[in-house]
Amino acid sequence: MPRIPILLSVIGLFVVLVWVGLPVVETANLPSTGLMGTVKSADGKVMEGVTVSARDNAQTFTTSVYTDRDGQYYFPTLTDGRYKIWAQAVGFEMAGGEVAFSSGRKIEQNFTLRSTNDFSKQLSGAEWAESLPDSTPEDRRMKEIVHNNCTACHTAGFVLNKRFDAAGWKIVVDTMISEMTEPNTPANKLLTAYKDEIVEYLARVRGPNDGMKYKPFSRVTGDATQVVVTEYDIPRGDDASFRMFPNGSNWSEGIAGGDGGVLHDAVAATDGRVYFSDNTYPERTIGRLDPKTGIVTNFKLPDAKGLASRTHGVIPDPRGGVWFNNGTDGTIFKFDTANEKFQVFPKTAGGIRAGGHIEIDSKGNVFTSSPDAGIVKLDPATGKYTDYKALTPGGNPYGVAVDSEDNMWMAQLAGDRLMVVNSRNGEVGEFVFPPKMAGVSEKDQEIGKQSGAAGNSAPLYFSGPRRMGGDPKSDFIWVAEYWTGKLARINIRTREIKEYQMPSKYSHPYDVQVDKNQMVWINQMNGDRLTKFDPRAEKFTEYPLPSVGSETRHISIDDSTSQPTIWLAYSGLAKLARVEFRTNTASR
Amino acid sequence: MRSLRRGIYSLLLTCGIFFPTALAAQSQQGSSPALNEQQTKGRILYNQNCRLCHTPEPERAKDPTPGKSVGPSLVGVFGPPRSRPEAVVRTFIQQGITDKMPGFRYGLQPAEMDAILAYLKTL
Repeated sequence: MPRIPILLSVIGLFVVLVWVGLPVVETANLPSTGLMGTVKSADGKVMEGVTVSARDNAQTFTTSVYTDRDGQYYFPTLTDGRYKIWAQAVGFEMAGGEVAFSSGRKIEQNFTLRSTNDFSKQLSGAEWAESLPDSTPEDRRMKEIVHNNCTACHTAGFVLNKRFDAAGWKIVVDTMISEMTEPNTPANKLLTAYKDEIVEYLARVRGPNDGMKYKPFSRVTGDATQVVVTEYDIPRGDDASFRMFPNGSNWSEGIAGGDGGVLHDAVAATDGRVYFSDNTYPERTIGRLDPKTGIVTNFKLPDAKGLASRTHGVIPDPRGGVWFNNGTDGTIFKFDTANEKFQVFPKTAGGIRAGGHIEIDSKGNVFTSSPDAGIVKLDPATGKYTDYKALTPGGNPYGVAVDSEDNMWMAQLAGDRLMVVNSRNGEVGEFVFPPKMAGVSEKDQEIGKQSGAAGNSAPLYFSGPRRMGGDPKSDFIWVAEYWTGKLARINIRTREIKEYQMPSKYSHPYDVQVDKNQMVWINQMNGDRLTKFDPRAEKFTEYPLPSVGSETRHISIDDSTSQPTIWLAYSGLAKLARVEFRTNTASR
Repeated sequence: MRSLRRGIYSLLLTCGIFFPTALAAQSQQGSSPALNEQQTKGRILYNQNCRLCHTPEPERAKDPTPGKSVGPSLVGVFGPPRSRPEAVVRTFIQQGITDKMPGFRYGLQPAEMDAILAYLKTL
């Protein structure tokens, strides 16, 4: 008699376990409707940190999410349409399909990824650079020389995905010297000094035999998987149908070859749209993206010859409108987002030119770095410019920042120093980065003394302060050290510096911005990742980007959303990317 | 032949398979002539390996006037008056030209050279 109840109890318990357990395992984190699924490897194990991308065939943007620790992914609300959907992870073949999506339905698209040994084209520039062999002192030195001379006009991957014998690499380096640099410039001198050694090293590691020690980065885990990245195609101003080949979406196609990347800086404005600069291609001075539709609108400010004026830096005005530098005539202008008109501010001749990065202080004054070694400030209320010259001339002026005291800072990238203008009295000072001489041979120090530095190449002991960001709530400014791969924190009062090594030394940190929660955000020119630094925990977190070869050179933060939203311009791929955070991971 | 290929691709696309081609094909929208799968692959490889030296960039920013290129333009390389034999161009890609152009035989597979040649024929 008692056997039946016991058996029933056991069966009942099993049923309960199955009923409770299976959903917990398979759908615990998934919404009830939408596009979702699970990604596993061929051996049946769930895979975390896999990039899953979806693109409506009728749209010009791609949405990407990442699998969590259970291998599960889900997309945010999508519009109805027919979507291509694909999953990618370095070391695995892409898997994909096509689905018809309509709101209110639950559509599961699961993937099984098969591993492959042929993955080098999937690597980011930082991974390519990390993979250069460095097991001997000689190779470690050559790795640094390649990093400091061959990875700044383009990513490391653009160079290292090629293989030539010594004769071939010699032609490449000779061409770089003769066609891509000017005589007697630092880049020319450095390449000439290191030519024979670079040729020997590259022919050994990327020649008839492949000597690379491939080191793909681990896939992201935990909180770093909880992001949604939307990448918008941005056509050229003179070609509305322009697309790149490859465009970074299919990693197995490799890093793009620079066939028309048009973007440099982009910011979200108070009207909810994103404005970007264009310093290269015809017929567009600035562009505007509507993030809801992906529609791009171009605006042209003609110069004296009727060509579109060049722009580089852009900053939104919290009072409305967007500010740009005019790289053609060396002035600053405002774009009125309401009436779509340019407001120009002529500058009297004889002063220094506005250019490069642009910032705005708490009083509404706008300022830029000047290629003539200084800072140009505009008071929009009066239209009056004020010029400030750096104590040390030259040095390739570039990034600017405003600190919590409204002091203006400017980076002299090739001078390893910062210029600072006191907001109260206009006094000019400077901060000099300590040279990184440890481990640098006398020979390399001498080569550095003879050559000097440029924006895109430098001696081995240079830090390379490129762009920077101020924190309005603290005594610090933050600086991206391009050559060392470090993030520098400088106290605006004591001038004390503290440096933090980024997760990848070869990622080329380019720009830094601080959000409303005082988190520090850094973009990587050479890596396809976005980096957050928590100053309190002194901890880095890296978030993945869905395209290979993004080559970002600017980062901006939209603090109007509950969690800060990050905007990135892909200089290497002609895309704008929006990074949104699903949880409060962005603030911790 | 091209329309036949296009029809097959459309069918495969509709069935939700043959995906890598679908993703590549989506990136050839626009004013560029429609390219088949091999030509599209060739265009990608051309941009990664050849474009820097063989496609003229404007002399200055914002000006559409074409400037110079390091090597000769490859537009029309297979047509008159140049009419280069395919075998000659393939040898250039493989072996390079002494002191002028590196040989790509270590970095490009034969099928990849085929793709580049197929793309060059569309220029």
